[in-house]
Amino acid sequence: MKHANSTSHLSVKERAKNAVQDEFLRNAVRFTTDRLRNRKQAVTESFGQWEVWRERGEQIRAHTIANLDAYLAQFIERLEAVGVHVHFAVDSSEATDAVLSIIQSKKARKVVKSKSMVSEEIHINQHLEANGITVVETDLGEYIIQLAKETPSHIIIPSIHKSREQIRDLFENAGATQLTTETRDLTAFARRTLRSEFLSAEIGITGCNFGIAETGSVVLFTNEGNADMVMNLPPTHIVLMGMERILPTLADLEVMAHLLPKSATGQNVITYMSMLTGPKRSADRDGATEMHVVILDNGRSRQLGDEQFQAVLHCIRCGACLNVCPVYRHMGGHAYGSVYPGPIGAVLSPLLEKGEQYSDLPYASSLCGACFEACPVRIPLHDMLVQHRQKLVASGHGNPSERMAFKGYENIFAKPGRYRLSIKMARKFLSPLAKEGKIRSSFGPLAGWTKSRDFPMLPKQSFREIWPSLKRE
Amino acid sequence: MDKNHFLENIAQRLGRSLGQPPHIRKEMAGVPEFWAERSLTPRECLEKWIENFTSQGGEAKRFDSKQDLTESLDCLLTELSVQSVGAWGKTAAWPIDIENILDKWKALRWDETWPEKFSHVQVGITGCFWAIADTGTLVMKSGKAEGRGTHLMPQVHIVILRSRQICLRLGEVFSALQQEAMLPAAVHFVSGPSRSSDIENDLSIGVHGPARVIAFILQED
Repeated sequence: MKHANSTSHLSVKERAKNAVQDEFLRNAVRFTTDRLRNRKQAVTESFGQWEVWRERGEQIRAHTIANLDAYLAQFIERLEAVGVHVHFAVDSSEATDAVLSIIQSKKARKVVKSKSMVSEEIHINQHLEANGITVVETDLGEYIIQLAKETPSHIIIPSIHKSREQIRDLFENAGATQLTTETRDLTAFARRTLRSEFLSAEIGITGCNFGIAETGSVVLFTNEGNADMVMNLPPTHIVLMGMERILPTLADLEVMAHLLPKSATGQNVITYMSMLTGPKRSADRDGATEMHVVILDNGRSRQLGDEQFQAVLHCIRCGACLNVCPVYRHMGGHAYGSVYPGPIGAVLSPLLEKGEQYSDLPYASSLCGACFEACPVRIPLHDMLVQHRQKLVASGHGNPSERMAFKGYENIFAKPGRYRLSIKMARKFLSPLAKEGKIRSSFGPLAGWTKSRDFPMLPKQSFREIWPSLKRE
Repeated sequence: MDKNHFLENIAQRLGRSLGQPPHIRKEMAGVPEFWAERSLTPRECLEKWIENFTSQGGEAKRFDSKQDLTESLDCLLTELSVQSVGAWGKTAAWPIDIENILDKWKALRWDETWPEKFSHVQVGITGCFWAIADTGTLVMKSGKAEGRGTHLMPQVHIVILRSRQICLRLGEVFSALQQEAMLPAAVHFVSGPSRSSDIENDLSIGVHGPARVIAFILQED
């Protein structure tokens, strides 16, 4: 799950520092997240009884994941019954191999894609391009960042960090001439260019928002209609899906069809919801003739049966937790360094990828709980962030000076004599650093605090010292 | 990896055995009860559909007679100075017969040509199977004469419907679909023109699908 940008060797703190220095990025992220958050607020208010809907969403997802083996088996059986080829991938390399072998068996050279977080997770584009296959992203935002050779910075609006001037320059490099920076002009160029790609591609790759167990249907949500083009025009359609993207019934889809767009962009409804049940029928004149579904584990099954983290698989990838997160809103998506940004990314990335690469992400949070409040399926993300930190400390990966500090705290507070003595020492030691009763110096063990805040100087007398005289009064 | 290993691993981690049915659900499938229990008159459904559809950038025109509808359709095509029209085939499930207009405009018919041709069609004319008032949605199924490209590829999509095709909520369409012998290969739920906000959050219309979706509704009581 390594991020393609070249900053992955930095810590989240260092990447955040770089990001907050980019003023355009900060303004764009703040503007977009404000807009999405306000629209969500408005649409859920007018929809009404939002808490009842959230509760229903949570129940459906919890039940599905707790019985995932049964529903996934049913989904696969129905898929096969309508003629879909189903592939199983335990990790990203099995998934990319499965996709590559399908493409190679068709001797195909060009792939069109719609937006899919799973495809980002397994880095399918790099893999296919390394094998001489052209991959064209067709979501407008994804197309822009593909031209810029970058990765998405937001789950829902991937090109949040690009200005219209940058977009015009990217389009001119891609062959446009005399383009203005008007949205209408830029959009028209993308429509023209991508339409010819749709018509000439041999393979279409989409993600899967939901797989319906009772019918074997793959359901896709887009606002642009690009997933519909991707699945209908090329002769072969490959669906990449995380194994947890299942819903038991169409009745459950009705709930998600309300929760997802309202939470993601504050739209009452998604513009295109398309439900595919197998490849085209013999009488149909369009639609893919061959359909493959690649079902990916890649660390997901490790969360099953884990009391603390199983609920992370309830996520429906709406991005609402990003828009309300004070940390995401400040530093944007790239600073997380992982494919999944924001609170969901800070919880999910260290789970999917074992080892230390993302172990600092759970600290990129103020634990305010806004993510939980925003989550349409009520995932307790803030609790999970704390549990991540606990696990990390328990496994000996905590900050050594922090460990020493707590050891010292334990020692000093155990005996009143030691406590008295240490307060006296601290006052003596700190007084040269203080000015007007405040410590501003930003070096030494207090630097993490004093860099952005003042630390109050200890009073001349401690409470314990003045208590005997107070008692007399 | 093979299917059984994949599924067995999941079952085992959940403390289940493969082949065991899911636990029984109590009152938590589908929408909350208050949502399912609402009811509106057909007239209210029509109003609600139009309100939602137009707020999402769709355009709606309603007519009391078939003749008014076809005349207005003819006028619109004239106004648009359309060079090329495409439409569902003659045998498709048209809610209203508009063959005279399609003939007049020499519409390409879906089942009489190649799907690629529809990429150059300016106006695609279709019927629909249902509409959903709650969300201002049109529902199209794929079929021999009802190609997916008819409503998706042209710059303008004109859809013909009768007001009695409008139901209140999405669940009613799912129930109707499940009563059919087999689900169609594709069911499209379309709620307005193609839209994107990927360029500095500025709304852009028609990036892939139609930039205009215009509904011609025959109002019946």
